[in-house]
Amino acid sequence: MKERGIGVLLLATALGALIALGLITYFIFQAGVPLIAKVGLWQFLSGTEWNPTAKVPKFGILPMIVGSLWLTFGSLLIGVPLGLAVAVFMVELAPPRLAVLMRPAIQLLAGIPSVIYGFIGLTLLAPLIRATLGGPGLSVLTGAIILGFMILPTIIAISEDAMRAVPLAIREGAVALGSSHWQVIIGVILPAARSGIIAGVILGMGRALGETMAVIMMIGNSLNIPVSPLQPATTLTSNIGLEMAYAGGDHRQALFGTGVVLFIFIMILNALATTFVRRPATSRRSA
Amino acid sequence: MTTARTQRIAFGCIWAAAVLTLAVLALVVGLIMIRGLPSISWGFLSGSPENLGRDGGIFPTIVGTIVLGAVSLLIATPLGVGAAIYLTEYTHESLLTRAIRFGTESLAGVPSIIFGLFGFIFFVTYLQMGWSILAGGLTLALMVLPTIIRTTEEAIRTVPQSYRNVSYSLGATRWQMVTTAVLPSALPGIVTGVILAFGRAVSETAAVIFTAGTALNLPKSAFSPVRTMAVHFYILAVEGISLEKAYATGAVLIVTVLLINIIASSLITRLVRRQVRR
Amino acid sequence: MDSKIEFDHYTLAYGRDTVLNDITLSVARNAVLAVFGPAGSGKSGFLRSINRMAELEPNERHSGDIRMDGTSLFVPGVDLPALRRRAAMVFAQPVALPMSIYDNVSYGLRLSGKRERRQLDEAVERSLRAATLWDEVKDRLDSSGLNLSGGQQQRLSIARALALGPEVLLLDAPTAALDPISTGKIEDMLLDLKANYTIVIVPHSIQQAARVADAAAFFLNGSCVEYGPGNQLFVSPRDTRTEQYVTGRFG
Repeated sequence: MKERGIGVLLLATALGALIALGLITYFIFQAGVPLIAKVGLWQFLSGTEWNPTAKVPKFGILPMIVGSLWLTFGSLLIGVPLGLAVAVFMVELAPPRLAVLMRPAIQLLAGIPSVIYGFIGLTLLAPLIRATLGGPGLSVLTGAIILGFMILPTIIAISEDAMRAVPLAIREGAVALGSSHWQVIIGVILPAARSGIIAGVILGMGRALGETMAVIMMIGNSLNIPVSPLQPATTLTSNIGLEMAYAGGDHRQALFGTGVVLFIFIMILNALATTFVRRPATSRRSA
Repeated sequence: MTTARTQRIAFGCIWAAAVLTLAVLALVVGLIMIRGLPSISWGFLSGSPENLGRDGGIFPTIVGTIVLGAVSLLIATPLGVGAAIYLTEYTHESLLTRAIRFGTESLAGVPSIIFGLFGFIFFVTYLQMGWSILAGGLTLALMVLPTIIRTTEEAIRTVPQSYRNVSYSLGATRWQMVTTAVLPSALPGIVTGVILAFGRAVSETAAVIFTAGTALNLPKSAFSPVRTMAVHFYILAVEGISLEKAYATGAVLIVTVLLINIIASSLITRLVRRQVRR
Repeated sequence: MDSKIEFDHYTLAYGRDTVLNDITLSVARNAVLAVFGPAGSGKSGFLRSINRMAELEPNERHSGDIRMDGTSLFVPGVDLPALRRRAAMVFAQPVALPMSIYDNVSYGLRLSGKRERRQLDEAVERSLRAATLWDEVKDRLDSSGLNLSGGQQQRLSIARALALGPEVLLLDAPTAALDPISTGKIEDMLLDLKANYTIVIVPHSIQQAARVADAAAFFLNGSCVEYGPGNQLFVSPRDTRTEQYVTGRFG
């Protein structure tokens, strides 16, 4: 009887994450959807003007969607090649001593608070870009470069696991055919680890899309749609983060509406990532 | 181009990428430390901020960080460990476990600003907790829950199946088997997960600022608002209050994160060794 | 002959795999029954049915009956932990749990709620002596069981089972992972133990079966092909398949 009770209790804890997800979905939608309905979904998504406090308020989030896309794909341009290279380095090239050092280093990279990265972008990279490339410095480019490094740990960790999971036999087969080490990496290891790498990239994308505070610090927060990476912009997240502090009424609802759009984007990315990660078959419990 | 030449160039690029990554890490840590450490003194750590943080210390934000992290772990650890035990020891793969895993993974991917929005509308507003330790702690707990579930599951799966067989064969009930044969062996992994979750709570800004508030006073109860170090650092930097204090606060943050990482990895080795010797 | 355990048309399956097919045989009290056959013949399933560990496999199904001292193991409300204390099991791989030698041996008793130090002390010494390990470990009962050699760990596993005060010992190839000297020690021990226990063993060789068994059963593909006194089964088997297996022509 006691055993049964424990089982029920454990099941309840296990449902915690699912319940939390349900609550989050419900409350975000409940707070955001009414305003989207009032404005009209298409108007909300494609409106180029965001002026929530005007006499006739405008709730168009296109500038933020464009800003988010710029920033996300920009950061992937930096993060994906770099992350893949570092993962290959850790699995294939690093001398043992350095390999031992890399793991905690990457873990630390992941552990550093995002506001610190934003601060580095704000105080170090932005002035550098203003001085060398022009523009205001606080820009899509600054944000994308720093975000590129912020999503590195995600991309590295997942592609590293995928590469380590490539069976030895496949590798040995290629070596036996006289392939060089690089040919084995590019022709055998990377293709075999493809789905894991894609999952890592998608999850990195999710991180970039979802990052808020660091982005606020780096991107200049302009409501104009950027046409060059040297221009400032605003994103779905940064706009929420900036305006939540003082928003009320329809304005606050519009921010939750922005949250709804972000949430849907993220859920799509999550679903895509899970279809690519072939989770190792969870071991059978036979005890 | 010859095979050897291609390989040389490719490997050169890969080495460069690795060096660049380590260099950026060193730059971030180094810059904050070099500019921040000189401003850190006992008075800075133990004093209260004055003039919005332009002068004085950061003691209340240190307290806020620790209290918020502790509350979130007090909530998330039993939930997460319980969930992991259920998933690994109490059920076979089924539609239900797949749903639970989907929930856990989705939760892990939810951006912290969404947690912030949710915490604000649900805990702060709907449940009328106000900006408070409780609201912030609950929000953070949901955020770190997937980390704890995942690390605990992994730790439990490394426990040899033979321990379970022996335990059952000697008359253990399922729960006795879990508590006497599985959890002791999985403990180092679980503790590491909890410590890393604490690190996430320390680093978080977006989810905290809208749920725990930005008050600079020392908290009096679970319903008091608090400001964490990360939030304080953000406000100092973004509102241009004091760059010097921002660097100093950043340095304390970095040292904290470093300590957490070091404790996590050294704890594993120590616990593993003790387990073997005992 | 007085029988301790009776299988009565017992069939066992894990999912679609039939593990045991219509087994009917009995195990005599205070004797050693050796159950042998090629890999996958159902020996382990047979053993695990006696302490109902087989039910831990996913999709386990069974029919027929098993009785111990005349009472069915499957009557509703059977106390499984108590059953497993009556029929204690030792596995092929030596397993020392990551705790002290003392805690290993007293583990089962503590699970059943016994906490009194003197009682535990007494049981630990008695079981370690019976498992011929006492002299080797009596001065370091507080050190980790993981520091013992493979042979010692297996005798520790046997002591752990004996500490429960069982009536039946279920030994699943207990010497499969051991060197010849450790194997010899454990075989000698078995011959001493059968005065007080009913033993069912999956031997790790025919020779071992012949050395220790009073009775033997030859299993093939989940069925019991032949069952009889040890000296008869090994010397003049009736079934040609048994004969082929015993003389090493297959398996």
